[in-house]
Amino acid sequence: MSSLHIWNKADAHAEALTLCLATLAPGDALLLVEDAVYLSGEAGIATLRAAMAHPEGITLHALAPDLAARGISARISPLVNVVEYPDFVALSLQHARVVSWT
Amino acid sequence: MDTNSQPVVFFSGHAAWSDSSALACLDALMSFAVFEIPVVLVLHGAGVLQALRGQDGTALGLKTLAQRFGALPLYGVTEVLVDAESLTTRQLQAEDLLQREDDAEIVDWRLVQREELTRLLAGARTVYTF
Repeated sequence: MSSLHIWNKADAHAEALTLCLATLAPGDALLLVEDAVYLSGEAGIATLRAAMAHPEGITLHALAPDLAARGISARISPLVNVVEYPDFVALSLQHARVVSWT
Repeated sequence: MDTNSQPVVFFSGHAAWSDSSALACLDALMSFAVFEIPVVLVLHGAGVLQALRGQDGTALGLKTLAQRFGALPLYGVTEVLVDAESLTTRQLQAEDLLQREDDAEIVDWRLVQREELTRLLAGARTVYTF
């Protein structure tokens, strides 16, 4: 009964994101879209993982078109899976629920 | 797990006066509850400020959103979960939230830790964030 969590802002310390990260359970996935892909670099991912209760059990994804648009496709942490729109759909189907944090 | 018994969970993270999301969240929750779909409301972040005592919207010529929490029991919602860490961050305590002496019909506030919210999410039918 895992969840796909989606975050779309560049602020790594936003309260909603902090709550999201603290409540991630093993098997959950976090997808970074829009400005949140700015957090896909090594420093950003380290910050996100530090706020997770179970960082080892969480898969991280970033949306390729949003990375390309911002010119940061080559600056991605090796812990992040770069995904296309069809993968986004597949992730939505793989998980029991989708939570878009605002 | 029987899907019909799983709650629809609403996370409300904005104060009552910044935009319409707090009101929209309550409206959406009531829409589900009126059809007897189990619902859970979680106040977190600035959303905990929705439950603060002493609010008076008439000062702005507006209705006071907090009064709506008194209507929730009519929809079968008798308690609202409040993220304890969000309260602590704002140097607030349970006593700072609306009490029965303010509104006899008010819901019960239950402060929760984030481990409980993790379990709540894992058992939710659907999650909405406002």
